[in-house]
Amino acid sequence: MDLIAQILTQSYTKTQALRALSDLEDKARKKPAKDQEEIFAKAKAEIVAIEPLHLFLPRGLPDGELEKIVGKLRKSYGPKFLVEIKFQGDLIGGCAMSYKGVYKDYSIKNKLKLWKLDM
Amino acid sequence: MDLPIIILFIFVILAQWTLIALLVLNKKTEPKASLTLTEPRSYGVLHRAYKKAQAILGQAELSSVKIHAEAELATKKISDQLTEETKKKLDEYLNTLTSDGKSQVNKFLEEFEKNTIDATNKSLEDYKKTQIKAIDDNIGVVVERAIELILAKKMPDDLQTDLIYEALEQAKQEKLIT
Repeated sequence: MDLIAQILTQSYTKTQALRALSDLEDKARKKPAKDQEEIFAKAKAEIVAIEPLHLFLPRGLPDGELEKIVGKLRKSYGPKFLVEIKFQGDLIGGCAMSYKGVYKDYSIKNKLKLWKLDM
Repeated sequence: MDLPIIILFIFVILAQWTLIALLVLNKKTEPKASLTLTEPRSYGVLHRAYKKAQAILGQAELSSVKIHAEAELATKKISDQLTEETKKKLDEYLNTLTSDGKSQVNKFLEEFEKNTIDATNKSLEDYKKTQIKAIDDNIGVVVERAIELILAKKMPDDLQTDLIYEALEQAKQEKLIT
């Protein structure tokens, strides 16, 4: 299993992936190997290049739910798919998301707003 | 005063003056003895003439009074007629004026009433719109706050998770993620 695949197995957000890579790099420094730096640099560049899906949530997810969500997304968009979680309490429920600069709001707050406009 | 009355007055005055002149002339021309003899007769003639003149003067005065009274009566009659006529005309004019005035007042009142009703209706309509909008806004805010408060505290985790999966599905359909 290559380094990226190993990292992404237990990382679901870009932040987690970079932290995991950093941890592995620190461990690797204790037993230096050939082309080690180049391998980590390449892996880091690859993770940084991944465009994550930004998920805006009103509160934290139950344990294990992030894994399920990202697992579902990876089934649809590939194994290197990552998310970034941001908390926004006024969304009430549901979530908003943005990907490559496009923002979509699927929250309860936005549904109420649309419902109010229809009144 | 009428012309015959004036002539009569002149005649009476002339007669009196003639008698006085004759009396004076008689005193100057006749001797004292003959005067004594003729005095009672002359006096009687003068007295009768004087009485006659008085009678004529009285008659003239009576006529004057009568004519004056008749003139006054006629003047009063004409004055009354004029007054009556003027009053009638004035009443007619006042009636016309009142009618026009009433008409103008009615027109003004109608205009005023119409304008007032229109303005009131517009104000009511504006007020209703403002109030309905305020109620709508408030209902929205109240419902939103209520839902926010309830859902923020009471929304079950599985419902929140379902909402996230629904959102992801919708994003997929909308081709948000490519």
